[in-house]
Parts: sequence; C-alpha cells; structure tokens
Amino acid sequence: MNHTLNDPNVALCSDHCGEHPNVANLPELPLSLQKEWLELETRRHFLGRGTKALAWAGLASIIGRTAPHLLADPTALLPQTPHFAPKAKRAIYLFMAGAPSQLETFDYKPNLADQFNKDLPESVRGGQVLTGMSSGQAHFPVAPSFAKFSRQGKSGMWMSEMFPELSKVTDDLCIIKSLYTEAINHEPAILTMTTGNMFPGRPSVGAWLAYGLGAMNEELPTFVVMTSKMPQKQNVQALSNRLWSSGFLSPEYSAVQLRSGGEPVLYLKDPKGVTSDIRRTVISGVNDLNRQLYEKIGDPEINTRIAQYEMAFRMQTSVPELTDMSDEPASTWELYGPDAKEPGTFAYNCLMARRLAERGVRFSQIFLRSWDMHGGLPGSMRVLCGNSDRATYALMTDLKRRGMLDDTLVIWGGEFGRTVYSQGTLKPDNYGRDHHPRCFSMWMAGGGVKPGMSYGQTDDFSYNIVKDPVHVRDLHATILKLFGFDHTKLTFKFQGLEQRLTGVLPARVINDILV
Amino acid sequence: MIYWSKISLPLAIASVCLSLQAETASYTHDISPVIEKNCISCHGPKKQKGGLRLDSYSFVLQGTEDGPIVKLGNAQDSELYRRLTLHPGDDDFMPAGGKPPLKAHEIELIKQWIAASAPEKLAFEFVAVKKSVLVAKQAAPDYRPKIKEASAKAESLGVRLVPRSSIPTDGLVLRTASNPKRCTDAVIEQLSSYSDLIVEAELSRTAVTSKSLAHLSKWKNLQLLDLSYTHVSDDYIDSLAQLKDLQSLNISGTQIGKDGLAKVNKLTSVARVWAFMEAPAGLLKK
Repeated sequence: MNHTLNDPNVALCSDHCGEHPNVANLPELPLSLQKEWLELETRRHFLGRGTKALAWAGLASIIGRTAPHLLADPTALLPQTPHFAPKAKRAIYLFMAGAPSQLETFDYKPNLADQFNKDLPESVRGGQVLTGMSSGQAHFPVAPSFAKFSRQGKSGMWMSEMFPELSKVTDDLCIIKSLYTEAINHEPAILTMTTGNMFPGRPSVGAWLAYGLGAMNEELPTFVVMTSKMPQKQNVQALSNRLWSSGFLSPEYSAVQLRSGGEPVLYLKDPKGVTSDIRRTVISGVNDLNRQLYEKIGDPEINTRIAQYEMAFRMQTSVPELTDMSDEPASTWELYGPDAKEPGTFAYNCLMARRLAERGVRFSQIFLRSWDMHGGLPGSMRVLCGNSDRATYALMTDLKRRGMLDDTLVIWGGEFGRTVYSQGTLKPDNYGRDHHPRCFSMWMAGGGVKPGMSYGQTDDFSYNIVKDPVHVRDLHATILKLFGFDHTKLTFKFQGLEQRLTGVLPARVINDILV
Repeated sequence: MIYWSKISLPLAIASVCLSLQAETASYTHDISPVIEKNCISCHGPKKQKGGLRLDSYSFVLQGTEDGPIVKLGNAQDSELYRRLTLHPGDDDFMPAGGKPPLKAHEIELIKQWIAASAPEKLAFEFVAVKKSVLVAKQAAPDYRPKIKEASAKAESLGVRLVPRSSIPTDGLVLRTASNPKRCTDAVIEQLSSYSDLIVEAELSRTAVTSKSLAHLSKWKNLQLLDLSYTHVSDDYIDSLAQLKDLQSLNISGTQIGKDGLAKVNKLTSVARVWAFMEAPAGLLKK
C-alpha cells in the first residue's frame, strides 16, 4: 500500500498498514461520504462493544474524552469490580498437560488388585466409543495401580506414594474425584479446560478474570503463563497461545508468556545504543500518532494498542525486578530445592508463581507436559511425579507461611482422565492407559476452598461417576464464584450473544466445597 | 483461649501460627493431642484394637462395628466418655493394659467437647459467627458519595482505593501492589480522612513503619491488614486492639519481635494472624 504521510485523508496506523479496506484509502470518494463513513464506523465499533463500553469509558477518560451518557450511569464509575466480595484475589493454576492418570494419583481403588488382567465388564463400559488407539484391542484387561496409597493428615484422605511431599499438606487440599468432560483428545480437551469450549477462539479463564477484575499491579500483566522444561521428552502434547488467548475479549487480557530460557519476555530489552529516554520518546511518539488515529476513527482497538505499548515500557523495569531472585532468603532454596535455581524448570516456575502472586498478578498458569502415558506408565509416572512433587509442596507451604494461601487459589489438574484398562500389554509393573473423559481427579486449595476434603465419587473401576459429578463448566463457575462473580453475569457481547465462560448450557457452583 | 502451634522446619526458622479459638473445645486443637498421647498406640494407624481407630476426626466419629463411640451432645451416653470414667479395675476401662489413666482435666475436656456436639474445628465456626455478624451490620458506609473523591486522592498519592465489590457497603480496598514503595507513612496519614470506607489495607512490601499503626488503629472498619515485609516493629502494635472488626493480620517478615508478638497474641478479634519470621542470615548457616 502506498501511504502518503502528508495526505491528511490517509488513515495511517503508525506501526502497520490497515488490515481491511478503509474509506480513507479511496481518494476519489467525495469528502462528505468519507466523513459519514467514519462516523458510522465509530458508531459501529462503539455499539459493537457492548459491555466493553465500561472499560471504553475508562480509556476515554484517560485520554481526555468523555462519554457523558455512560458516566451518568453510576455503575460506569466502577469498571472491573466483582459482583460480591471475593475470597480469592489471585490464582495459580498448575496445568498437568497430557492428562495424568487419576488411578495412580488421587482416585484410590483398592479392590482393583483382585481384578488384575480380568476384562473390564461390558456393563461398566456401557457401549462407550473408545479412541482409535485402543478400540481395536481384543481385550480390555484391568490394570490396578502400581502405586500404593495410605491415609494422610488429620483428614485421613488417601494419598498416593507418588506424592510423598504433597502428602504433608493433605489437610489443605480439596480433592475433586468426579470431574468429567466431553472431549476425548488433547487439543479440544485442554481448550475446554482453559477456555470452556473445545473450539479455538474463546477467552481463557485467566483472560476472563483479567477482564472482570482488572490489574492489582499495573506494572505487570494481569495474566501470566509459563511452560516448564520437560522432565522426559515423550508423551508430549503441543501447547499454543490459543490456550491463554483473550479470544474475542480485548487483546490486553491475554497472557504474557514468561519464557523458560534466555530473556523471560522477548524484545523487552532496549537494543544496543538505545537508552531508556530514547525508548520513551519513541513510544510517546507512536502513541501520539495512534491517538490521532483514534480521534479520527474511534476504534477502541487503538486504545488497546496504546495500552500495550505503555505496558511493555513499564515491564522494562518491573520484569527484571521480578525475575531477579537474588533477594530470596536461604529458606526459599531449602524449600524448593536445587531445581528452582534453573530457569524454566517446574520448580523455578512454582517459585516464580509465588513471586508473581506476591506482586499482585491475578492469574499465573504453569504448564507441565508429558503426562500422556499410553504405554510405560509406571516408569513415566515416577519421573513426572518425582519432578513436580517437591515443588508443588514447596509452593503450597510457601504460600501458607506468607499468609497468602487464604486469598490465593491453587488449582492442580489435567484435561481428562485415563482408562482403568491397559492400553497394550499388561504386566503388574508395566502397562499403559488410554484417554478417558468420563471421570478424572483434580485438587484445589486456598482462596476460599474448604481444606482437607474430597468431593465426588467414581465406581469401583474409576470409570463412571456415581456421586456428585462436576463438569468443567461447574468448575469454571466455582472458580468465578471464588473471585466474586456470578458466572451468568460476567458477560461480553459478541456475535449477538452475551458470551460467558460457562457458555449457554447449565453450570452449577459447587457450594459444598466453599468455605 | 489463644492457640500457638509451632511448625518445625528443617531450618532454624521461627514460624508461629496463631489462631483464635472460642471458649469450647475442638477436636483439632484440644481433643486430638489428648488422644494422641493416650490412645494412638492401640487405636492408630498401626494397631486398631477392637476395630477402633482414633487418629482422625472422621475415625473418632465413625466408632466401631458396634456403633459410634460419641453421642453428640451427650457425654454420659457416649461409649468414649463412659469407658474413660469407669473404675480402673473394670474390664472395659480405658486406657487398657495398666496404662496410666487420663488426667482429670483431660477427661473434663472430652466431656465438654462431646457436650458441645464434638466440633472438629472452632476456627471456622468462629469465622462463620463473625461473618453472620458482618452481614447484619454492613462492612462500611455506602462508598458511592465519596468514591470519586477518595480514588482521585489515592491516585494522587500513588496508591489506589478500589471497591471490594459492586455492593456499595462492602467497603474499599487500599491497593499498593503497582508500586508498594510509594506508600509511606505520610500516605497513610493523608488517607485517614477516608478511613471509615476502607475495609482492607494491602500494605505488603510498602514503606510504612510503626508510625502508621497509630493511624491505622483508627481505621475502625478494617477487616484485613497486611503488613508483611514492611519495617513495622513492636512500637504501637498494641494500638491495633482498637480495631474491633479486624479478622486477618499478616506481620510476616516484619521487625516485630517477641514482645510485639505477645501483644499481637492479645488481640481478641483477630481470627487469623500470620507471623512467619525468617531467622537472621547468620543463624541459617549454623
């Protein structure tokens, strides 16, 4: 496109060319028509924003323009305020991507020892369609857990020997054994867990919270994602920023990813020879140009762009302070162990999550992959649990010590469960498990969740739920409730619908697990 | 009664967790130590004589195959209490096998506990009681008339005053996380004119010192006060006793010493206190 800087009719976005045809690109058009178009465009953008108008009013006031009819509404003075007083101010979500088996972790089935190698009764499976990975098997032999369980804590909950460290904080956990989902493959299942829908394009839970609550710390992003170095390079699923995107919400609510190697945030450092003053001048100049464009077009996305530039500039100071762990006392390293010194490990990320929570970041999501154990499950399970157990315990203990567990919600879990029958050859010490969406286990702690309890129950084969089923939607509704939101009222108008995290199907808050 | 439970850590870290208990006994804090001392060797994870396990609250309530050993609200009809109070020569007397009988005050504790329907924890009940009081009485005056002015004032001082929720009587939160060091004693003093609206003061890692406590102790609707990792010391710490609605107090990583902790101990309204203090660096090396 040939933009002429001198031509006042050319709507020039300062840092990229227009993505769609613009009336101002057509000089033959009569000026009156151009003006009308621009006015309509402004109106269309404004009306199309629905509830976003509140945040828009905030931005408008920042840049000295007001939308009087909005400010007359008393609620317009309160953008990003929860419906009722929240129990949780922030959350740390330990996402076990690839789906850890519930049978070796939290859903203890002692009776299965007697069922070794017996075929899973047809009545239990109930004609369920299996994945292509195991549907061709002639037999579905029951594989009891190789991991032993024992009662732990005052609550006496059954904990797996896979988590000797986490077992020490059993009484702080609320274990849910009756999660279920519709998705049977990783990508749709992880999307369902992170965004409430198996199709890409929806905002992630963290983005909804950022949109609903706003920042506690304006110097750092509201939503941060970290992926962890893999303890073994097998059973790995791809992760992408679809999982932490803001979907149809404004892009400022999507997560900033802290990288595991090199610079924690890309392109944050000034290039050689560029001082902070020069950077400030450039950003101010770019933002001035963007403001001019905003005056003309009124597209709120332009304000998002301005906000993003400003955030990036502030992060030039706040991120180095965040990632410099030299201020941590010796007790921190004793607690988290030597792995925490190495950037990108799960232990490092857990410690980083505590530092983020301490600084007021609303939602930190740590991904740990390699849980997809179709074969060789016992060996891989030892590696994965061995890699993450101490750090998980350390994070819980650290939050407790600092008095932060009361208002920090910790969530642990994957995207679905695994089959009780072995995929492939079954030996007492070696077997695999296929995907199983009908039941899986998760735990939550702190942030207004009842400690030392388990919720929900599966049948003797951990195949079907027999008591208190919890759909992913129910989990999301409960998380929103802890943050002070009625999930039916945290909405954003898009494509003619009042969109919400829990969608249009019924969702219930699990009140039984709330303090 | 104030309870202190010490968490032993591999390091020389003084970690003290205080939580306020109501007058009656609870399983977690009163009964379980008595059971642990007297009963666990025969009714614990290793041995379950008579099919009875007593090492968790649910086990105690579960009882044996013959039925429950605790009848809620009635000690005399409870097998647990009956066996403890038999003649030591009786076959059914507990502890059996000539082990020392329970002390009179321990038996009294169990009696009171059963009479009070054998609660597991009182900390939660206590919070719950307070909550119902708070529902009846609004947390703070309606913030609507003053919110614009208050938040503008806060912003001019480099901090924020934000509504806790859309309910106008839920009060305001003093938020400092964007740049905690900007929040000094002078800022606290200047915000005092809006103090009746403020229910939570998030002052972690700020520059406030004990001087601020003199002001904060007059913020009468304060429910949460987070002073962690500030330079607050023992001075003025007892003035917090004026805060009748204070439920949660975090003094971890402050300069508060033994004397200050003893004074914090006396704050009767506070349900949750965190006082995790790192040992001085020299101590850690030993």
